[in-house]
Amino acid sequence: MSVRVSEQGEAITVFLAGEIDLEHSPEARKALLAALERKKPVTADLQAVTYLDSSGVASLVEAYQKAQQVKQSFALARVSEPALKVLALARLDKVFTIR
Amino acid sequence: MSERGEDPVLRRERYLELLADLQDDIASAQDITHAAPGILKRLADALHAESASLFLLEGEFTDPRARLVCRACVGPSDITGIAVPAGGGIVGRTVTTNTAQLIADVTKDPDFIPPQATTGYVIRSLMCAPLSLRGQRFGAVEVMNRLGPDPKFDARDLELLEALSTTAALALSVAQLTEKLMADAKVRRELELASEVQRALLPGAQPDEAPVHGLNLPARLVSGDFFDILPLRGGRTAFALADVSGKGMNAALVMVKAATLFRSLGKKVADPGTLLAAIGRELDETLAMGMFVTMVVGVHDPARHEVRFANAGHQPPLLHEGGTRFTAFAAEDPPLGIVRHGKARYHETRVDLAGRSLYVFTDGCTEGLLPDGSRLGVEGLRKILLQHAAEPARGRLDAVARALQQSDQALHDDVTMIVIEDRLPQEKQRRQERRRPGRAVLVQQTLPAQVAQLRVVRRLVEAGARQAGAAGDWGRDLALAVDEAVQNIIRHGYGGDGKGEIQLRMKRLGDRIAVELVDFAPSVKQDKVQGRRLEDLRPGGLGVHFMHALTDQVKFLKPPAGAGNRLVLSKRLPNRGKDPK
Repeated sequence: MSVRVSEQGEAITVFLAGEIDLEHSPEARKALLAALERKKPVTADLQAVTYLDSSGVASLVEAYQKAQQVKQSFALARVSEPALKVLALARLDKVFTIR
Repeated sequence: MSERGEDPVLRRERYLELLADLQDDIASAQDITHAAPGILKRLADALHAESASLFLLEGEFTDPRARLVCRACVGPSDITGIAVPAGGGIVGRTVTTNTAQLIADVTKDPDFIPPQATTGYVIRSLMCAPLSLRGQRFGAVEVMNRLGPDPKFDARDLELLEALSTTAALALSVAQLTEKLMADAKVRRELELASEVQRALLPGAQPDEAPVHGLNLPARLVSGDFFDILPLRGGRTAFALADVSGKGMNAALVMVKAATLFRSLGKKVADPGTLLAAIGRELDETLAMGMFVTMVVGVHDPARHEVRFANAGHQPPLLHEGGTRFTAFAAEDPPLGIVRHGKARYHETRVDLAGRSLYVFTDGCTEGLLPDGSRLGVEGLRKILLQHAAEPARGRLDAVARALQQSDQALHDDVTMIVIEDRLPQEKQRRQERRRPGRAVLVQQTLPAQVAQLRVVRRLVEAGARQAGAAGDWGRDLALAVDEAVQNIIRHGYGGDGKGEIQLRMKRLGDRIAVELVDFAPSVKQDKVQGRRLEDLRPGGLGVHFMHALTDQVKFLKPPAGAGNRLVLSKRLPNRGKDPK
């Protein structure tokens, strides 16, 4: 699993890649929350995510909740097929803003 | 022999006798240096010459730097070693025009170069005949000063010289070839010895269940390729595969050094990235300009079901993930010997190997030719590996070797290949299938209850699913469900202390697969495992929901004696036939 954070002007994109399981989701969670601390709109790019489990979903959910707290937008972009499947299974595919 | 006024019949007899003697010279000629004086003496005697010298051509005849060097001399003045430019003097003229020259009176020839004043030898009359055979110029033979009352050579003398020169040229040609053959034989003997040494360096055949197997087919006597398999502590295995640029002795010597370095450093340096950098540093000192080595070194760890490797400019290793999926890993570092960058560590790649195979091979494999003349290529290699996927590793390697040796042509380049794999115990399963058809243990593994093992669990489950004939998605869904279950054991069962153990068993029971997880944590109460409402987004409950959604049944069963819990997830295998509408 790898995390890359990119800033373009007023927006931040957090690129997540690889398998986000219990071993790696804490890292993803940390990066997403840190990005939201910056009080800018944050997008999580999931194009390269090959695996997502409940802990990975939980990290996305936490980011979503934090975004509401700091009144910033949080969206998912280019959600890969495996990630989308898991989000749908959790019935959260309609909850997140997906670009 | 050419006595003026001699009886022609007698003369012919003596001529034939001389020829017979020269034939003997040819038969016994070992090398030019020894043959030349003898041949020269015969010629001088037959021609009644006071002295004779043999000039041999050094260098290509067409090269302006070529010289004619006197290699043998008979007579009062020894000019052995004297050299003239290939076109110079009478002897040069002879060789250039490939025609015999007769200078009855030297004072009347402009090309005549008088010998050094110190020798004091006066040349009055000379003949020179070229020594050439089928267009190959060897040099020329010069005879000087006819003995007897008349010191001048005449046309008949020249005729005889020409006739004898052809035979003399033949004798020299044979001597030259013999010399070369002996040298070649010597070299060949040395190569054969070197080949034996190299063979001895390759690892022997491995037992069937070993994780690493290798294959080496040398194209010539000595090889610039090598591979090695080195057992380490803890059941791990280090392996290496390398290809040295160039051919022949040079490449073979470098290969031996690389092999030795791997053997000696492989046990001391644990990680492939550091090991490869260390080998590279040592080889840098040896590699001559223009030589380089591509190399892969790695370590297989069966406990973690993983392989780690570093690659210096070598052809990308190929991972057979399952089904028809292959992944290639391009080298992250250049070949050894190209850039002396003195890095302490080369880039390392880590690959999960549970249920998968990793192939590392030299380009002799992919550049090898098939019977129809086409390259095997990576595509062709993949095809062979897929065709023989069900066979053990040795069988797959043999299939590749057979494919490359079918062609009429000899191997162009060495073929070397190793395979590292972590396959499921197929033999055991086959035996069980025979006893109880439809029932088999696909996976049986005890793992530490640590988050790093979750990945291993997923791989094992996916591999087991494939083995049972289920498609990728089906196996991945099951793997997610099992992952969630194992997470719960790690977090809630053992409280995340990382110390416990989980026993995983995946079985095929007729039309379904059951995954059983046994742990030694405190017993869980059944009702706590019910899924929570989805609207409640607290983490934890979601996992249980996934478990139920992705399988057909999740049940706690009576644990074996001494164990804490036994959880079984079962999932019906997909229908093979068409769905009834």
